[in-house]
Amino acid sequence: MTATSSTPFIAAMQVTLDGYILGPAGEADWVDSWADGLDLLPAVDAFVLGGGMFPDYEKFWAAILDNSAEVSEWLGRDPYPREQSYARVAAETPHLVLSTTLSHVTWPTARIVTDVNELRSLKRPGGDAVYVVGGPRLVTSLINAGLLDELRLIVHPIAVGSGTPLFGGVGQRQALELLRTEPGPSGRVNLTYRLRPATATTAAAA
Amino acid sequence: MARIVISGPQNVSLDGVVQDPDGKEGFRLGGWFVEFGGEDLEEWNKIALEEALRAEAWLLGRRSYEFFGQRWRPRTGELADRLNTMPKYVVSSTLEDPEWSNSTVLEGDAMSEVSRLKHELDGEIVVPASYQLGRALIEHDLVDELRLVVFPVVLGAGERLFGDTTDRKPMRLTGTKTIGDGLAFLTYEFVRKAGASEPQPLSIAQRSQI
Repeated sequence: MTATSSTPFIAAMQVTLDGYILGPAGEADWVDSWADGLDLLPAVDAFVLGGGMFPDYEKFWAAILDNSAEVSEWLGRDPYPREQSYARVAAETPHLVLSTTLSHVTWPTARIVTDVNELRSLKRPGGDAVYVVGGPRLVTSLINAGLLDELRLIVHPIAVGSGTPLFGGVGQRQALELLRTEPGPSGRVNLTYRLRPATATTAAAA
Repeated sequence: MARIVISGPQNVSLDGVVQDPDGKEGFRLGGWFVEFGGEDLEEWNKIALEEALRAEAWLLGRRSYEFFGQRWRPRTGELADRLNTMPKYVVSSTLEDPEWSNSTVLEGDAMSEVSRLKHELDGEIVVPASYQLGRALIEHDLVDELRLVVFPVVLGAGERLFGDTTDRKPMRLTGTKTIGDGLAFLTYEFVRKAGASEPQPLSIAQRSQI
């Protein structure tokens, strides 16, 4: 049972009730803070991110870290303490960016990997956890490759009807095990699921 | 004035799929209700009974009406007796002679018919397992509540509960609990407040994590 002792990959995503990461205009204004995903996690050894989101990600968190004036303009408010805390943790934790198109990154702890299989080495026994930050393409690639162990969703009380779905790229049916259902602030629900191995059936697991 | 409630309760996969829960429609991923409900369905049944007992009437699309009719007409017992005697309203332009007792066909413009029904009745009008009708009711802001049971599976394909809507639909969470071990029961009220739901302009802060 090596699966139980290897470092778990945990994705934490903010979705609408109808499963979208972004609405039809590319918006996600129901999200209060992107730092909220990390707050759902235990201590982590590494962050894993997709190449599509990474340029804006590093620009945003670098600005938080430097406490630059433009951050308050982007946010329409001052950064929360938990956002400053996120930036400090992120600056000290390895970031692996899965991409075949990015040529360089500026985040000090980031490096580019080109093959999803290179991420397997992070599953060494004895680690705490690996935080899968996003985006949806990376999360579904990891689900399809059988590499994602846990999914933590912040479900926002809104339906948008169309946009960018979290699960749009899932290639085949994925069985889950519900670990927790908890109400959060502002009508949010936190749902925590463990992903079941593809071969397990409900009968075998019971 | 009645309240329109999408429930029964409304079963849905984590990725929002509602198609063919019983596996009788030939959808390749059908049959997820029993497979992923498992032993939790015992407690699910209690909730379904409570929902039926407190409902004033059912409002259904034709296919769901025929499915439930075939299933419950021959049966007896607390749930069957309730469903067989409860007033049932079917939205259909083709159904002429409904066989299930106490049924009424809503013809003509379905949304104005439902609007009229909502004003005439009191209590809860429950819309069970009728996603096409449910989508139209949501689009026309006729739904007051939504009671979802989230099954622990990502199906990856299939018809979903929410279709394209012209506006976003903000909701208020009214309850969360776990049914058995693996089913999440989430209840919402729809919020109708003009101007409250306009999308805000994009900024790098929003794009930074997707």
